[in-house]
Amino acid sequence: MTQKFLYVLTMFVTILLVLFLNGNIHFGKDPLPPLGKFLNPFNGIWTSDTRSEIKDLTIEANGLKDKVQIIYDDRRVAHIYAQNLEDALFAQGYAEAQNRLFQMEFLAMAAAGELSSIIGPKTIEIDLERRRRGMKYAAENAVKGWEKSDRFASSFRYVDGVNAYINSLSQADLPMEYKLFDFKPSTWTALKSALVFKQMSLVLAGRNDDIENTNLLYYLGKEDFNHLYPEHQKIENPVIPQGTNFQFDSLRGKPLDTLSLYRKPISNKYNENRNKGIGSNSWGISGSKSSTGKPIFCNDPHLSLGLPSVWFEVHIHTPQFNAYGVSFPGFPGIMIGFNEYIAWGETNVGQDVEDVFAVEWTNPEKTKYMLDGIEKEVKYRIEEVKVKGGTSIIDTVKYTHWGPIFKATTDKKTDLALRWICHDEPDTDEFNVFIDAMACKNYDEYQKATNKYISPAQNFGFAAKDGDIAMRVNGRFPAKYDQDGRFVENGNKSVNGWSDWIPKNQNPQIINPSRGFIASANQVSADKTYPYYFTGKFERYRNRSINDKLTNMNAISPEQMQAMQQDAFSYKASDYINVIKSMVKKEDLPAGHGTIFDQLTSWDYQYKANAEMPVLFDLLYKKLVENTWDEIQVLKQNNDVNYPEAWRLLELIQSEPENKFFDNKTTGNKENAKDIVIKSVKESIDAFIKRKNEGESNKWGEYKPLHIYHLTRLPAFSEMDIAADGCPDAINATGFSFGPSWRMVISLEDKVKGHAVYPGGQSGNPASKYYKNMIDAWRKGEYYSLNLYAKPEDLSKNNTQSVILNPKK
Amino acid sequence: MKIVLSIICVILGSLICQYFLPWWIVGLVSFVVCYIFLSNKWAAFGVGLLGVLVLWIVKAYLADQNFDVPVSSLLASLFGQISASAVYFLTGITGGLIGGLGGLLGSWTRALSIQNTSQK
Repeated sequence: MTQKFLYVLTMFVTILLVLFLNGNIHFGKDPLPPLGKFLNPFNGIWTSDTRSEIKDLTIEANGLKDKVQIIYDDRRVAHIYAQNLEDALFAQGYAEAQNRLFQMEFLAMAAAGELSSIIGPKTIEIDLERRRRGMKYAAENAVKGWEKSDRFASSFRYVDGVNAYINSLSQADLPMEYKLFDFKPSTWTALKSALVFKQMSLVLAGRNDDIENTNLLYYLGKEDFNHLYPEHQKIENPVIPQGTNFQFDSLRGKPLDTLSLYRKPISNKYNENRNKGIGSNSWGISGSKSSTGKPIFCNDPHLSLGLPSVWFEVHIHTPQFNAYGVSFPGFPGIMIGFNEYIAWGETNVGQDVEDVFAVEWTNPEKTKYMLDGIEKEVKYRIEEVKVKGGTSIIDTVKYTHWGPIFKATTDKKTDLALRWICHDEPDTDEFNVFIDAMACKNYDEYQKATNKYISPAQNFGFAAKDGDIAMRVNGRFPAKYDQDGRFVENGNKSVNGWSDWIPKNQNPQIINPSRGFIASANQVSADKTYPYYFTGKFERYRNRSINDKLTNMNAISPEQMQAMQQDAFSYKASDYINVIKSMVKKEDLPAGHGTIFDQLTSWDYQYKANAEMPVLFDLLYKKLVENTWDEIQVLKQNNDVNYPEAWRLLELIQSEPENKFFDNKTTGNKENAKDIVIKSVKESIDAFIKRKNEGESNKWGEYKPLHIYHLTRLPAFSEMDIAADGCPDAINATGFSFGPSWRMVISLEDKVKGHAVYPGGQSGNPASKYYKNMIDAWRKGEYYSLNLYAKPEDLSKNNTQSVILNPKK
Repeated sequence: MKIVLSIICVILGSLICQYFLPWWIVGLVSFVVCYIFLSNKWAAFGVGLLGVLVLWIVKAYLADQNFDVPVSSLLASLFGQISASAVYFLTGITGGLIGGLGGLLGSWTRALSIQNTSQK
């Protein structure tokens, strides 16, 4: 009897164990991969992505018009040779899926708020935030608009290419991460491409300071707020040079007092610290300034650096065009690149295209609100967040006239709605912008190709072999009154919202400026004479470095342009230390501080990985902020607020040393700017010495090392602790996990010469040698040459894999 | 002799079945092999364990040679800085455990059915 019982028990235990190891049973907060399925050497993790190892692969695919070749070179750059655009886009989809399938799917899931379904309870909050922000709603609207274009089907042959790859996969071929998180690729759709695009939009245009500014205005009062947070510097280097004549009527002029502001604090703290370090450089010089007599175009977008990399390098050749550059995996076309005639690229525009409206509920159920005197009802969108190893979470998101209710206030009767340009159904075929750019031969064609662009707004930089250089602030912007959209506004009147768009031809733009160069680094788009109100987050230092250099340099070679992209000089450090130098004498400092202070004041302001002064200045700036803005620090504990910008603090130190904000409330004395500066210098040198004594590194590259994380942040798949030059205020804008994600220099000579590098590799497979092979070259400031090989045979020497796609008969 | 033969049968049977059936088929293969050949339960456990363990380790080792970066080293840091050989062992033991339990149950079933027939 006991024998039989034991037998049955063993049987039972075995079956349970199999189920557990197969992933049918899991528990805990971080579900383990199903070990049996995962470790099994026949089709588990040991056999991932085997198809990239096959030298010659021939596939039959439905719907192709002609034969397409994808040749991978010795860096695994995909060179696509197709007989027409549709087939080329199909092949782009295939190639991106072949190398980046998990990344594409992960980004689409992240945008849609579906990560918890593969990762587990850890990502619920992130998912809910994406749902409340209406990311999927935005993507659905995008597809709704795109489908109205008669080019939708042909451009989204890309989707079929992705699916042709997915359908060719067996369990053994799946990328590693699918095995780790135990799921299977699902069919790719235009909606997923839209989601991927919206994820990028969120990074670039998903920010506003309306809540922060509303809090500050409430607590500081109008006078102090305006004084500490001015929107313009005395001297600015806008993207569109100062002195440009804007000949159209002004729409500004409605003063702050008459705006319908929500004048209560929003004390819920949301801690959305995203987007720090996001920015980009782009510049172009005309032939008059270059060593070749022809334009040179440069672009280095600074994004969150990741593995697999943000960008996929691709060369697309058809009888109509021959283009090379980088694409955003999941989306057709080349976003930054060049062809035999032109080069193009983008940097982000900081203009605020996301406004917050306070919706006051008229019923206790919070489903009704007033708009223009009429009671309106919200629409519901039921969001189900599936959670691996847990129960689904149901969230009902309310949609108002303005957009989704995305945040609550502490006032029980009011919630906040989001009006975001990226929610709008597009009325153009904006998805074709980066497809059409590939075939442009001059600025006229490029301008036409990019007119349809809506969001996220970008500075579109351009240079052509025929000599033209141009820059256009491109995107759709609401025409705003002065101060409009800077704060949370009342949502009870539709006039408080956006009514008119700035006509495209009134967006700031310039072609062939007399100074001989175009440049953008996320600074203000235009000077104060631009008739529309511009507000947002703008860069204050990098742009000066770029403009100074380009103004002073002549007969510039492409190599000099590459070197300039590595420049680690910081105007922020230089501005500050020059002022500090004049205020602080060595006698003001304790014994033992003198030598270090001398080092600081004689520093060349270069953020080199092995330099120590960047660390000291970092400590010093933090102390200055802490000691000056103690009043705002107190607010920060319970509210979303921002400190005044660095340039404003320095301006106040210089011009208003007795300003009341310099008095630190936590001390008994009354301090002025000089006291604060001396105190901060002392404290930071103390901290600097203390770090040294405690054996901590004071080398910039070790103090703030760069981490390039895998999408899932798993250290095993990431590259950690890279000692790299640069800081966010330098042209080489490398920071904690951000930096130049693609450095490109294109010399538009008779035979166009391209050079570029990015910190990663073409393959998304962590076990591939092409996964992160370019990081070191990138760190050292080295470049690879980019070739517009006219035919597949030209690649015979460095062909590492050839994939032939044949139409299915 | 019987034991060596059984191990070979487990290895070959699992190798063939694993190409088109789920990984846990190794348990069933061991079950069948041990049901046919072995009357000693513990020997059967050892046969299943060893057969699948050897097969999985060898196959994992061979698969590892296809990659530029060994999967074993990625797994080693994924599992928190263990050694690559520990990863092979972990792989082998995971499959081996199911193989062993399958074998055990196979010969046990055999014993019980013989018992049943003799009782009748």
